[in-house]
Amino acid sequence: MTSINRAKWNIALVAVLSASLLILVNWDIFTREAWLAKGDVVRLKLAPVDPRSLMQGDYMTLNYEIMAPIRSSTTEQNLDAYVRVKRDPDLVAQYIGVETRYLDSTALAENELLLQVRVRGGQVKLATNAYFFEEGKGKHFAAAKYGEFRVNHKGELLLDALLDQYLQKL
Amino acid sequence: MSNLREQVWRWYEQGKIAAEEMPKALKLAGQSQADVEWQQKIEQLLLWLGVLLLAAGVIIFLAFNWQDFGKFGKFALVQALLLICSFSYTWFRWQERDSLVDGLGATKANSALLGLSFMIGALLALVGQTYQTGADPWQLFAIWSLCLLPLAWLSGFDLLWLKLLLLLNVSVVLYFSTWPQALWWFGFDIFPLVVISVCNGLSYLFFYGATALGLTRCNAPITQALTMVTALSALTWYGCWQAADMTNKASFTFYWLYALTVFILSRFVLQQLFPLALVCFSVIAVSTVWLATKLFVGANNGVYMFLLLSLYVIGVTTMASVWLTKARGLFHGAQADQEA
Repeated sequence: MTSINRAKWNIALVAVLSASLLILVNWDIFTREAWLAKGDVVRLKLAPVDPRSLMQGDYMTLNYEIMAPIRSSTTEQNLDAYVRVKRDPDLVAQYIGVETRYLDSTALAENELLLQVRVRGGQVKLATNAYFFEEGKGKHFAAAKYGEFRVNHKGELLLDALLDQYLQKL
Repeated sequence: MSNLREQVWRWYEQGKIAAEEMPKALKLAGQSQADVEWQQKIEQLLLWLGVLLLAAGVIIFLAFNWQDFGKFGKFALVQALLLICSFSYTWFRWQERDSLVDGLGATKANSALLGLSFMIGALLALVGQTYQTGADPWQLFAIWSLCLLPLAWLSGFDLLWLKLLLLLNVSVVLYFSTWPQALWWFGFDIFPLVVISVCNGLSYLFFYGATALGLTRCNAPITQALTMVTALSALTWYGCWQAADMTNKASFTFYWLYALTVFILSRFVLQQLFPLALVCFSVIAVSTVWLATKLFVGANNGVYMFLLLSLYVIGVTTMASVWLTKARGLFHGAQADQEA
């Protein structure tokens, strides 16, 4: 191979790699934006976290009330499952039970949803366990009482906003 | 440096140097070799430093102005920089197509790839941070290292291989903290140490084999040395742990078998001094911990035990150093024989 061909081949490889990465990432961004726009809204009540560990620099630890019944419903150390919830008129989720597999929407009652939940080493992981914000905004977000999420067709959760006690976005 | 002589020759061809001045010009070009080498080295160091600082700058800039930028502003910034790195690679690689035919090693084009590798990581992290889905953190590092693999292979550049190695180790550690696992007589706590040691040991063999086969793409001496350091550090940590807590004899035997394998491989098969020295000091560290636990259990007077222990450490370290010096002579002799 001549030196020019070699250079061309190298350049092509990097170009293909960069282009495919950008396409994949932007496709991912696009699907997540669609999910945020069209997904079902569900609000999870935040459980109080020990005030000494609530603020850690520029992020806030999130703990959800619903995690307590999930934790007590299983003894498994590692598990991928779904939590079945019913939304009240304020769209706040009420715990119903844990399902080991994803159910068809026909199997669910009206206003019921399945949310993906993972258990890792005995710890329940539901959506994100932290909310990141700009440094110094800690006091502002300390008023958070609910997390507002968008659920997609696979039961995956995307955190949209934190809400105060009157369900207003912070 | 032949480049300068070539340049002089080109000037001569272009008629910028008279024929009678050529011997003098070539002599001057030869004399200024050392200066040029230093200049090039400094230039390269500044280039890498520039790329590293630029990447760090972008990440800090984003973190500091997190709220002021819109979601898409942040994506646009990182993606634009990613494209700039990709285009700079194209530009530099094309410039260097004749002077550096393979384009391997510390070239300008490859420093653009280093920048590209940072931007890939920044973009992946930014997506993960923006849409906080709570994916397992090891996934980010695993995907990042997967994207880095073709870049490292293409560039044959030590810094990129090093970064790949670092990311792989981080993914392994994070994976095992997410999914704690045990196997045979390795408990949850020590299994990650065994995996890291074995993975890095195999990486060492890979780099050694590639260099022996003349595969210049995988010629990464710093990375190769660090794989062995990581492998044996993890193993030593594991060994010290087992020596201090002798509840499981089988897992302590594993340490000795592993160390013996490294010893035999590096002494008789590969004839490499560096792993040999590391394994000697690993054995010294582990045996010292073992001896200490034996000596101090039920001992009345700790001071004498410390004296005994320090004498042991001084004794075996000296013996190992003397023996390693001899081994180095043997290896050099064998190498000279081969070359002759």
